[in-house]
Amino acid sequence: MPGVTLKGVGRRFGALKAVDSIDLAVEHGEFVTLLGPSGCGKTTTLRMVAGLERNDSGVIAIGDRVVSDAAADLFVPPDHRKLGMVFQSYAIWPHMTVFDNVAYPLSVRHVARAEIRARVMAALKLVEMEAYAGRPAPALSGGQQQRVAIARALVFEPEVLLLDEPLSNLDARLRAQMGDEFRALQRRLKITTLYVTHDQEEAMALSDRVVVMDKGRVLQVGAPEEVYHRPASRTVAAFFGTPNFIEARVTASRANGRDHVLAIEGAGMRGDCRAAEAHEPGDAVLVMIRPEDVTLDSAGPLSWQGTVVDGVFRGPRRTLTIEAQGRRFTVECRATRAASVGDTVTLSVDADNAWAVRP
Amino acid sequence: MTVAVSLEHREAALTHGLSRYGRPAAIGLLVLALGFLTVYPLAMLLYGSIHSTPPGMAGEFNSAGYRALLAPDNLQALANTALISLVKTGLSLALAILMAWIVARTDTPGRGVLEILITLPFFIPPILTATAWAMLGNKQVGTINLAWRWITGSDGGLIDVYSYGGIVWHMMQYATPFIFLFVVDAFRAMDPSLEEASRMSGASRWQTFWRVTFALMLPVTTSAFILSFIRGMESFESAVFFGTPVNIKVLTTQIFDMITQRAQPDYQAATAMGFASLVLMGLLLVLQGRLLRGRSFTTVTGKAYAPNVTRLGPWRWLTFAICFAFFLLTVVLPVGQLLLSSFFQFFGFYQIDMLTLEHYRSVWANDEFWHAFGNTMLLGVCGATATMILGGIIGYISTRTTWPGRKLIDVLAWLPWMMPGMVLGIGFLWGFATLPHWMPIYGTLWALLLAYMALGTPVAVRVTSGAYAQIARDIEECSRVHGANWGQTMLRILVALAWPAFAVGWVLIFFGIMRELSASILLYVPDTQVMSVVMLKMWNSGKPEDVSVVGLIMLALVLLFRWVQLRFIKRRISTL
Amino acid sequence: MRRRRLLGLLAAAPAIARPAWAQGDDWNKVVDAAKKEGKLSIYTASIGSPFHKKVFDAFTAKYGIKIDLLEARASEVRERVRVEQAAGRFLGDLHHNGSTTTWLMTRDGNFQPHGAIPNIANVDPIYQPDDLKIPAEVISYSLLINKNMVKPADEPKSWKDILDPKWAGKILSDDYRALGGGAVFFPVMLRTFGRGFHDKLAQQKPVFSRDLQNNERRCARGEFPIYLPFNLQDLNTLKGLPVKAVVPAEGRPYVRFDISMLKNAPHPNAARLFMNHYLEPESQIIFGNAGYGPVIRGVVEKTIPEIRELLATKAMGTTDPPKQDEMLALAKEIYK
Repeated sequence: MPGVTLKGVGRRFGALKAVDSIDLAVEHGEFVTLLGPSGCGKTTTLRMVAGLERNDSGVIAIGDRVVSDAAADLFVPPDHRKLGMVFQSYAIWPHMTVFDNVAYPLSVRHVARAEIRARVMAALKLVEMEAYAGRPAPALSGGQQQRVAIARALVFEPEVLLLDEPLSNLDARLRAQMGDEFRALQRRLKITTLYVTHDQEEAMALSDRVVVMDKGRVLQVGAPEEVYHRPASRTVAAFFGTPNFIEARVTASRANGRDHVLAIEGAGMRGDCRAAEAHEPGDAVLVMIRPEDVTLDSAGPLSWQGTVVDGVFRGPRRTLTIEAQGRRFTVECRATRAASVGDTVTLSVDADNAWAVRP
Repeated sequence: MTVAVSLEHREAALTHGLSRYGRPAAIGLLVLALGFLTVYPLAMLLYGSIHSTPPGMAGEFNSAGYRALLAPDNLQALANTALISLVKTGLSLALAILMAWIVARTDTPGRGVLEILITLPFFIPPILTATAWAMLGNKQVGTINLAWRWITGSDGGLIDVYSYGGIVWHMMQYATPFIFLFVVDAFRAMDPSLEEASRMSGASRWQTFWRVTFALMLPVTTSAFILSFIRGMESFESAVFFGTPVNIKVLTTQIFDMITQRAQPDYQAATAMGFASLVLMGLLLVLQGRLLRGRSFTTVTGKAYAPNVTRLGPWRWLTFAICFAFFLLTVVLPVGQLLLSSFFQFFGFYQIDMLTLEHYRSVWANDEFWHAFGNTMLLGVCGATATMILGGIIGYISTRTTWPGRKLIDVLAWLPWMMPGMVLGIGFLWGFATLPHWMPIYGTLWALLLAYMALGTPVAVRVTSGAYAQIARDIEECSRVHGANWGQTMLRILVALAWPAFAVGWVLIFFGIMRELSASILLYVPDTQVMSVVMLKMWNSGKPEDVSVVGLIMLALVLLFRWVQLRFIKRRISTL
Repeated sequence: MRRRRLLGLLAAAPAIARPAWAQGDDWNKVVDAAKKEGKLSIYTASIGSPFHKKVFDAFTAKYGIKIDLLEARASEVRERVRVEQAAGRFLGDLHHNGSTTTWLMTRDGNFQPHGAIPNIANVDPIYQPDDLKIPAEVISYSLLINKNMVKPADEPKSWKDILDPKWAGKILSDDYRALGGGAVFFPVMLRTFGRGFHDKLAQQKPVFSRDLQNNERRCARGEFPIYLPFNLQDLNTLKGLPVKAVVPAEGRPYVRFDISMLKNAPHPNAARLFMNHYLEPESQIIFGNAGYGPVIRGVVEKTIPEIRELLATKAMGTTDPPKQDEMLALAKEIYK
């Protein structure tokens, strides 16, 4: 079962704890993304799995094979970990042809020549680059290099595929396309994948599960929808989009399924919201409301009034900035909803879309 | 969350873990080998500098050697040396960078050929060009001055090579190609987008050159500058040839005086002087380290880049003229003199009745020469290869790992370069002769090979670490992750990418070995005679014409090497 | 008397040697032992000389003993011997070097007595051999003039003629402040003419250079009309060039090369045999014809005419090894 298991894995650089005791289990065939701002330790974590960085605490296992155990002074060098990896820069070797680049993982393992040819062409076909086999690598465009890098990572049929911000060097359109293609490929091959990115949209679109990291620690692990709608903290919430936060006080709390429904009261507003845990009356909470969840012009379980101070037309929708009680809210609405600066509007949110976290 | 580990796997992993202990062992071995090559002879010299007699003789420890340095003569020589070397290195660096840029990054016509031509002067034995220039530029009857007088009708001379200027000029003919060889591939390998970004930010071509191109080349250029400066401090031929007659003293002529020109050689003062220069040059290295610290100079990344050739328009003829003029002045003039002279009975006497092929016959029939030629080729090929391997590994350790002790290794590898060759040769003699007799080193080819390796290692380390510094780390890590071990990665990625630098280093070391005399003459035995010794014999027996024939043979070899090398590069990297 | 003996030598060289051979079977034993040793290793400070090679080759041809030749500059040869002996490596048999270096090495105890050598009997008395060394050959120094620049009438007749102001700035010279020809010239002139000679010569501003071969060529090319002190044996390599060697009336300074047996020589018999061979008339005539002064009697007279007239001049004097460094220091003082 070639999954990836990290237990208590940490890495220091001098006094800095780049990665601070991470636990993570990636299932076989699963696509897991490490997401976080730069410097959060996600790349270091990936490099420790790759064996490019040595963890100074904890255990890393690929499948049921321990590849690194700091306490036992055990460390399997990267070339013995049977991995495929795509680097941010692609790391296409400029002195080789496309074919030689892709053939490399096989030829260093002394695979027979004929077999190399077949497997390389198959890998190139997978990324639709078979026509370019004879090209010198530097003569490729960014997107093509990306495909070659993926083919190279896959050609050896690695147990685990590692990707370090592979799309960040592409333009937006290509990024979306490559992302989709890659996701489809991953599903087809059912290859365990560990993916690093700082782009939350990319993370949500591709992953089975997202690991949100900050300052060397894991903040939350969950399916994209879960971390998006049910963030564990303000930091996690703030990492996806530009949510609005309202400070409020709990007046009542009751269980509802696996969630809790809180009655809250804030400046100029009152209503219901949901939370992951029970709260005592009087507790201070932050209520997260995503801009696209705000409804205009109708009263709901949680509603308040404000004045439009800015509006931006974005084609499919319109973004309004609304001031209420000295606080600015970002609201996404239909593009056809006319709104002039100075209009007074009523905002309301469904209780399901208001999520309370501890401040 | 538990980690299921089967015993079998755990054991497999443990064996990988064991390779960890191989590393300190490998490092230890390397330090030991380097120590033997560099520290051991230097330790012998250090003893010599603080002991009233050389090793093996009764005497006492004292500081007479170092006190002797304070003689006004020696201080004057030191100041002269530094000044001459600084001027020649500065001028050469400017010229070399200009020409490297022209050859690597502009559409100057014939730049492929120019690249070979520019490097040629380096490979001509200095004594020959000195002789040629002595004929061209002496005040009384130098060809250039005669022409000047004939043209202008004046009595004076235009130039006098027996002067500071003459010394600097003669040294420049060696320093410029040397630096050029060092920097040209760095220019070629640079990602042009870095320059484009500068142009797009509103910088002029000139600003871009200084603030981006040149700045990115800092590790390579400062390395080349320092190597060349130190080489200048230790250069002997130019100073003794053009300086001694007009009483210009430099470090090496002083040392030469101390060890070969007195009835009782003063090894103590000579070695002390060697250490004084070693310390001075050490300071220079520290300075370079400061200058480069904490900056990144990666220019070869895994991203695509296309060659960027600046289109110069009509200016390309000017750049062509610059390179060609250099070639004309440093190769055509002196080598023309040599080639012409080689067909006459005497150097510089061009009379029809003196036309002869005798010098070619004489060299052809000189068994001693061919025996030495064979030895030198063997030593050159093995020595240059072994040195590049050693230097390549040291360069890797010092630039790309975080292993403790890498600084030490780096310093060890520098040492031989900082000790004037004349003194270091004595260190090798003392060191190798006093080894236990069961070690078959003294009196064998091994002694020469080891000395040559020690002398060549600094160049090898500089060349390779300069090249490594420009290769992004990803490029290397990517190989490891995809199943290549360290050796495979080294060979197939780093060496393959840094190949031009390796080839240049190899050629530099090879020809360094061909020319090396100071250590050779103290370590050779009749069986292991080498070319430089035979050339000294030819010279001393009054046959500079035969020496020039040998010089021409060497030049032909260089042309062959360079042609093969550049053709090879072209085939492999022409697509860049 | 001497002449008769020389004539005899002309007629039959072995006749002269007979008294030595007659010393008995001892020498034959040496020859046999030498042949058995079969090898000889010579350290010499005479680099690349074709004349020495001729003499060495003749030895090999005659006795079938192979010679390994280690050539390096005087101080380098000395230091190699010294360090090898200090390290217990006794690789060399014979040492061939200038008399100053030989003197220093004798002082340092690098040699062992060579024992009886028959041909020592023929050595010219002014080159006294001793237990530790035999004279090898002599280097004589003269003036070299450029014939195109110096009219026959202007040729210096005396060493003092070079002090004439017309030669100011026109003299190229081997350095007196360093070991070599200059360091022979300096003390000999000092002894003959007193310090005044050097004070005046210093005012002539001679140009010093240490590259002998190139210096001769510079004179030949017309950079300087006069070069001194000129190694007479280099005349061979200058044949055809517009230069001429001139030995002034006072004679020629000279310096002797010696051969000594190195301590614990591995081939002592071959070494002895070689020393004897070196002093054979047929060896010495090779040096004589080359312009070196022979060290045995009766050879100068047999040299080729153009050399004979130069070598037949008076031997003016040589260096005094113990005073060598003192002389170099004095030269440094006079010639700033």
